[in-house]
Amino acid sequence: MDNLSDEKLIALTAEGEDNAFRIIVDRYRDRIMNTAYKFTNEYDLAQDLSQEIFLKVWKYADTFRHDSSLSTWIFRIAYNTAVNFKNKNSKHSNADIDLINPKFIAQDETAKRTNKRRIEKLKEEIAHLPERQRMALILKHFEGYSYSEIAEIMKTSRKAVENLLYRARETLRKSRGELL
Amino acid sequence: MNHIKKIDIYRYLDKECSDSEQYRISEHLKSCSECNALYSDISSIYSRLNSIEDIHADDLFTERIVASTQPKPAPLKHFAFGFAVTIAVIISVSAGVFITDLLGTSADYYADNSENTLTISSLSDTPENTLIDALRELSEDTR
Repeated sequence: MDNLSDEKLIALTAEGEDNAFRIIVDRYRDRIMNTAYKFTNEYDLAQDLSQEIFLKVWKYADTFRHDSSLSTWIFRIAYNTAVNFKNKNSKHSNADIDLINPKFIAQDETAKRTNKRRIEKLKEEIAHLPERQRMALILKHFEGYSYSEIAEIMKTSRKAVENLLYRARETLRKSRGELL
Repeated sequence: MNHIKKIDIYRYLDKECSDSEQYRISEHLKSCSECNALYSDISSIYSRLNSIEDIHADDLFTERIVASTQPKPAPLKHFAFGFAVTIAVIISVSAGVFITDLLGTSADYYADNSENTLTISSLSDTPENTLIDALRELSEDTR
């Protein structure tokens, strides 16, 4: 069953075949976890979000219409789930606050550690982007989707994707200036 | 000289321009230091985004999700088949009951309305040759 195509696996999943579903989860779990992690910037939250996404794949497998790839369909579910995801327990720890404190960063002397702080800061910045900009950015930079594919996933126009990406990256570009 | 718009530099870096546009921007960047500086600045965002490390789901991730799924109801085609079989059985049983009732009513009618009429039970119990004799006797009695 490992060699079956995505389309065959989702058809079997629609019939309640949990072994087919298991293979789909195995194929997509890292990509979905990474997207969820970059979206939330919290590992535990990313796990909860990923689980919710895959449970929707199981539940709605019979609605897959083969007019797009399974990958696009799963990321569409991921996008819809992520923007509606309610996190009642989300809060930043003191350690997180320290990481984004410019004074703390300025005192750090080693380039390696400074670089690590910059990455943490960037992740924070991404997590604070408006949801649609954030998802477009993640799909483009971490999943490598084209503008058209992102438009299909987010149910919007190619031009709207271009604008979302432009605004997201301009925000990151300007905030980088504040950090340095 | 017309400078390149920022949004076009993003499209250029994303490889979302047409071939001619890609060529035009590429040529312009070679000769315009101002646009080239902007291009370098914007491309550094891409490098920084690439520096964010990937994470991996833990080993039990898949099993945990599969264990959380609810069993799916039987597909519609199975329901349809089961429904058809049930209807066929109901029709068969109803038809059987109807025919049995009909035969029973007929036998009772004949038994109740003529003392000279042979009952169904006597007919069914009578061998063929005896039946003919019985009919003859009945015929003689009625004359």
